[in-house]
Amino acid sequence: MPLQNEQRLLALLYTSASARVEYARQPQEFCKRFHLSPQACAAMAAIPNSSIENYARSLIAKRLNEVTKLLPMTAQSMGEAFREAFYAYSKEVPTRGVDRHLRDATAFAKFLAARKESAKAEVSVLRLEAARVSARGSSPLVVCMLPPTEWITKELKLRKPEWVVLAYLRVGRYRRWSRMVIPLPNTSHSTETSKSLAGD
Amino acid sequence: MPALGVGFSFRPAYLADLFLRPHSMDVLEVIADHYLENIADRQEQLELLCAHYTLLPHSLNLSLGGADTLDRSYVRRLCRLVQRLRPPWFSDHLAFTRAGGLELGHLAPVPLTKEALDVVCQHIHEVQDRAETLFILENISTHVILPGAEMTEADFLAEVVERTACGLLLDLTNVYTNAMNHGFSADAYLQEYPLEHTMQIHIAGGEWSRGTLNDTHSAPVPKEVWRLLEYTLKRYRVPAIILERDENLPPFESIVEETEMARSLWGCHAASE
Ligand SMILES: [Fe+2]
Repeated sequence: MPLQNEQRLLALLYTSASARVEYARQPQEFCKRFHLSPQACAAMAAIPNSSIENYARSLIAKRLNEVTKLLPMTAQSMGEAFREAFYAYSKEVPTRGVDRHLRDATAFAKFLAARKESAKAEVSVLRLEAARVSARGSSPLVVCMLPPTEWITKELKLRKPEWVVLAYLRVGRYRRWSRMVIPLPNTSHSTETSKSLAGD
Repeated sequence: MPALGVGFSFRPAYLADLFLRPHSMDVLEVIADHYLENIADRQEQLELLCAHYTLLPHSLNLSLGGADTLDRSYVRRLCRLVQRLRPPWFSDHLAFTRAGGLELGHLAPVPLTKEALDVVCQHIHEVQDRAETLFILENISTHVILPGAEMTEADFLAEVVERTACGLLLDLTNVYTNAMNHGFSADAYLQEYPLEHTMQIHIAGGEWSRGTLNDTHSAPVPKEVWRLLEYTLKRYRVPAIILERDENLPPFESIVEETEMARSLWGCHAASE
């Protein structure tokens, strides 16, 4: 199955920066790993590295564009650092599934959360947006704890800044969501059912 | 095949505007992948659209040119959607989108070889039989030209049509983009292209970056693509024309203006038939 092997090799080159570096260094060895014949290897070598790089870049730009739409406030609060972090994250992490943009945004949010340089305000924005994105995916329950920042207070229309637990719960056959905002310490409790997460 | 007219590739952001001007579109294309999951809002939106328009499902992830087996769950859900919408046809691309467990997240070209031809035909047979609906295959734009071509893309597509009785979706912007990036004549490509099997045309606008034209669906249709549309319609009156716009969404008015322009070209040719 030369086509299958060629496509597996190409898929790796298109999605992995380290594979591209390795391929550029030792193309023959790299091709051998995919059981390509010497003729097929020679044919692959005819593809300019620049066109593979261009394509790989366009794949990442497409993903970045979708993830920016899903994490708009995080992107805004981080500025150029958001873009740089996405390039660092996406170098080796491919996408998966029909809801790949949601998965991508969720995984990227985790990647960002693990980076110490995020400021406190960014973390609250990030946590809220990550929860919203997860709630649009397939998990039945999404819970996150949000710090008492000014932004969260405004965004969740809280009366005063306070720590809150935010939960999205899926109910029914279709994905209809209940959103719960539970202030900490537990002074009051509010529940609202949202028909759509679009305006959430 | 009935003439469907001109429409756009539906984006939820335009839902309200569309129903304020319901007669601005004759037909709509919908991205099938957005409606494969049981998400209430999306299913309700689809029902609403389906009640008012002929919908043409357009999927992105069949990976028809991939040598790996088709994703059964994806095919099952797509065919269920097609049977529910009962469209005159549904479409996907001459491309592979995954290989060896890796998903590209976009369309990658397949080599124009006999081996790839067998793979594409086998996959189209599987999908078309299961959906019991005409399938149409779209040409893509590509950064990478794969070596070892044994035929031209036009010959490849003609052979696919011959073997599977599928139809074609001619993306004029992709033809133009490839012509610009790889230095060939779009007119020459169209002269070879099996137009008589074309059910639908795509038009869109892309953007230049680092000397490369990218098919970003983010700009108005450029005048060169309008010229290619006119050139194509003069030769064959394709049943449906769809404007694609995914990014930098302009006011709905601009979408309507572009579809009206396409309709006037399409109508002109109808009158001259
Ligand atoms: Fe297209």
